[in-house]
Amino acid sequence: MRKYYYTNSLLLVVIFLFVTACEGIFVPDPIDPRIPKYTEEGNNVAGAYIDNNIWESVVKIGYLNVSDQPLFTVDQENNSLLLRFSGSTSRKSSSIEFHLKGLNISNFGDLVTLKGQNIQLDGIKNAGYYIENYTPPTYAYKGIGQLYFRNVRIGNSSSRIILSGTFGFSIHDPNGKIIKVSSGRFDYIISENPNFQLQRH
Amino acid sequence: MRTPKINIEPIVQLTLQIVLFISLTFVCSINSKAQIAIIAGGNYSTIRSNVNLENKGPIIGYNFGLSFQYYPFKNIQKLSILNELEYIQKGYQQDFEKKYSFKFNYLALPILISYSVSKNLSIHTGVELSDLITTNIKQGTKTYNNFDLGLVLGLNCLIDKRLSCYSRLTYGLIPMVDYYEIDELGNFKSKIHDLKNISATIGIKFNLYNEKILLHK
Repeated sequence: MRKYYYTNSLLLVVIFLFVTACEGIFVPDPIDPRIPKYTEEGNNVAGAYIDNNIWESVVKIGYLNVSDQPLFTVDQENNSLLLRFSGSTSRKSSSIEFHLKGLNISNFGDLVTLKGQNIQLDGIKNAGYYIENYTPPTYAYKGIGQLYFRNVRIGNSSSRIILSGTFGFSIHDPNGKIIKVSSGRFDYIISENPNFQLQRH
Repeated sequence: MRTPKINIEPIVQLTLQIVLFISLTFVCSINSKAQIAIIAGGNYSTIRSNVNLENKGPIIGYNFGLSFQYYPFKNIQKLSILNELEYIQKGYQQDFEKKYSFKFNYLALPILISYSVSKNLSIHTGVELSDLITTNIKQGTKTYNNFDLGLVLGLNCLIDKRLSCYSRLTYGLIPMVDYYEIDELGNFKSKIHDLKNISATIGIKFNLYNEKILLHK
């Protein structure tokens, strides 16, 4: 009975440490506290200006679900990588996506090759998207700008990679108005499960 | 916009030397007269910066501590040295849709020279060495430099034998932040060394001890 008590306590401590390790830590930017400071520590946060509004993503772990988790999807057949950063703008759910091609990422370990890559979002091969409501025409408007993976490193275990970088792009909305996504930054811990997936055809 | 990074270590060394020098001056003086006092007051703090900090405003903080005033020069009784050890709250705030306040709690060691202009009024000037001990910002001690050095200019007005009031302006010299300037596209343009404390303090000083300390018989 006593043995089970200790085992359960240990399990709870391990779960607590795991949960607190994954929870986003929003360290305010010293120039503008509304967005997170650029860090390379795996704080599980991201932020950017959407015109004059703030988009932010802070990974939160609830009892039953995890919100604002980033998702990396690899399509080996098309040599493409999709990055989805989920967050909110003025408390309304929104996300920022990057559709990238030709990076030769075929498995989780290949993500480290992104280190130092400054990817030009040309709106043809690579594009950025700002999505408030998922509708099919959303992807018709391709953002042009830049995505920079400033630092990529393996975390505490080989199944966790810390990706940190910046981004900025401009995109047209369905009304033809230009939306500016600027001074973006991200610092995520990407785990092989559940943040990374291979797309099956 | 950009200021060269100040190498803190030589400054720390220099200030430690100054502290040592002042302490030795006190110890070596034969018939020193010292005042030991409790100080407490409020301060109005803000920050100055080259980077545009939007909607910046001051905050009201507080300070308290101990003050030691020495008269080491027998022939110049108007001149004295003030050493203090105080807890002081500085910072600033930025107002957007909500208020973001940045509070920095320092353990400060002002080293000041005081000159008595009249029987009741004295002016003091010197430096204040501070160490950031806590802040209200999550992981703030990783963002902001712990050491701060400021120039001090102030007045002390004697109300009665035991009680006096003081006012003081502290002008921070060391940038609190070493950070990056990130442009709209996410390019790292340059490193910035910016944000310097400014605070104006008013307070009350209550003398606990005002006798000659005889170090030698």
